[in-house]
Amino acid sequence: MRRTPASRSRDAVRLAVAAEAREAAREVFTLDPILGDDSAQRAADAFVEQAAMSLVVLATVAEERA
Amino acid sequence: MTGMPAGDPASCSHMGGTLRRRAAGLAQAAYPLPADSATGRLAGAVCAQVDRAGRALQGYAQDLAEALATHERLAVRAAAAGLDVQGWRVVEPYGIVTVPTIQARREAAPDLQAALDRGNARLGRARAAVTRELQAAHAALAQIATRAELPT
Repeated sequence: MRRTPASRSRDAVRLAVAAEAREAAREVFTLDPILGDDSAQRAADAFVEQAAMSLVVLATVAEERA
Repeated sequence: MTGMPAGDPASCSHMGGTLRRRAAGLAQAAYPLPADSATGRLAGAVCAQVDRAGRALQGYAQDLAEALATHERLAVRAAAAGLDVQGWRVVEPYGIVTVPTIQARREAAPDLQAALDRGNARLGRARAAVTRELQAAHAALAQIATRAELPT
């Protein structure tokens, strides 16, 4: 199947989204806030891990669809 | 003064700012995609939760900074009245003192303790709020990631 210029353009956007998401995942994973409370700290640490993983999932989906 | 409340507003503000900046960058990159496409939908959902957590952390950083400033200000007031602050409690330092000093301490202590209690309660509410928001964003992201990984 031949690809139209519009679909090539959407592929480029998906690849850009994937690159941005991977870069964001890397940076998010380096974040180390000090909240000063055990419960809040656990929530922040768990969020960092989940956010990084979700960004990687987004990058993978975007790459697969490109 | 001993036992400053724990927490670092700068690190919380940095994380909040980073999350919001990354969410905005991702939303901008995904903007040309149709909102009902798989990638467009997923990017929108992830960005919303990352930005939500970032906003909560920025708010918390401000509340924490205010709490630390309040604590410091009250500790200075306590010291001027011959009292000490440990954590969020007003205490009388050890040592021999004169009767006027004892009277001055007893007059100043209730107001100071009430102000410290208010500061501690405000910080507690801020901590509960940021914890709730982070847990909610975490749960939403987990659900989004699970759905995205399911074969369609």
